[in-house]
Amino acid sequence: MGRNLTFDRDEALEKTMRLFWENGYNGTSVQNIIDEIGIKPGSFYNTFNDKYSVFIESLNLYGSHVLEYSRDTLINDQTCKENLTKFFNDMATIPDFKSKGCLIIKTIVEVAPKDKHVLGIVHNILSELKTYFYECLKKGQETGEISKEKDIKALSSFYASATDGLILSGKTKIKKDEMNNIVKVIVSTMD
Amino acid sequence: MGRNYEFNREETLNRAMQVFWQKGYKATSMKDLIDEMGIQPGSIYNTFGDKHSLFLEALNHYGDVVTTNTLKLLEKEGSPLENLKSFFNEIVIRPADKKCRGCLVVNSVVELSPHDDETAVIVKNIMKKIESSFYNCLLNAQRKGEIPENKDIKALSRYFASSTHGLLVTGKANASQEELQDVVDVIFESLN
Repeated sequence: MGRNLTFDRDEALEKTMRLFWENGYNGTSVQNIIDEIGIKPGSFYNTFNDKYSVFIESLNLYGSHVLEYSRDTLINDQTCKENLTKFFNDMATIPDFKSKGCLIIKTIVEVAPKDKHVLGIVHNILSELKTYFYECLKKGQETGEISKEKDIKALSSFYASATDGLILSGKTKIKKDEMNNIVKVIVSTMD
Repeated sequence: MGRNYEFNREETLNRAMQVFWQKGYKATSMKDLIDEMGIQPGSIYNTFGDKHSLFLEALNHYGDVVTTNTLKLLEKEGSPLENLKSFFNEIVIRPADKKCRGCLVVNSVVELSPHDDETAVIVKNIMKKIESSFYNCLLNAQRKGEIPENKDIKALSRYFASSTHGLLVTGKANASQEELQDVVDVIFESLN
């Protein structure tokens, strides 16, 4: 019984997270969530407390997915350039990003300016992402792929910012080859 | 009378734009707009239509202001490269409240563009104008020998537009001025 409940909760949270990802915090109502996961209002409030609490859980879940993907993509046996190219190509082409954008960016724009707690969560996710870029670049410096002169801390900050820019550009209906060109210039900054 | 009406219309539209810019589309209520615009609900509907049409007009108005200012800055006498740098530096040194408010275009892309074609079209047109200002600026910089001949400035102008999006979001996420400066320094390394 206990196990069953846990399983359902995870699935419901995943669905809720995708709803916030699609529509943002202000564009998602408790009614939308209840309809999506198919439970009674009472069960919703018992399980997730309220809209704000389930949003925080959804944001953390989204963050852990994104960070897991980023760590796997940026830190492995391939060269730094191969990893960065794959990462940014994915950002430019993954259908979920093109249609829904990114929940972190949505949250930065919609919620974080008025909410220090949420801003803190976003900040931690972005800091973690920057350490993956940093590790990827550091390995590149160790193997001689990247010049020792390069300020890789600044490059890491730039790559995090460029990720946001690229995902937003993907939402402005620009052509695929134009996106590819942006990716090439972004990656070229490591040379 | 006609002229007076026109003047008031623009001033009122400007106020509506400020509300959407500060609060976002969905979080702005008709009451917020009425309070800030200082006119009766009936006059808003008669003059601008519903909340969505008012928003589209406000976004267009914002786009006109931003594209005109950007063009003016990038076409200043002197060094085109320095003009482009001052465009980005202005974003770095903005006071915190302005960083936090961000840009109405970026905010609208994030909040509305997948489900709202009218907004997407307006945003696309604004971005095309900004991109073409970047392009002309880079072309002038190339002619003056400030950036190498072999650079693909069409690709670079898109990259600078995308970098502007990224920088504005990074600024909104409360990054330090030092970090934003680092980002801008790397953005410009693409021109070496």
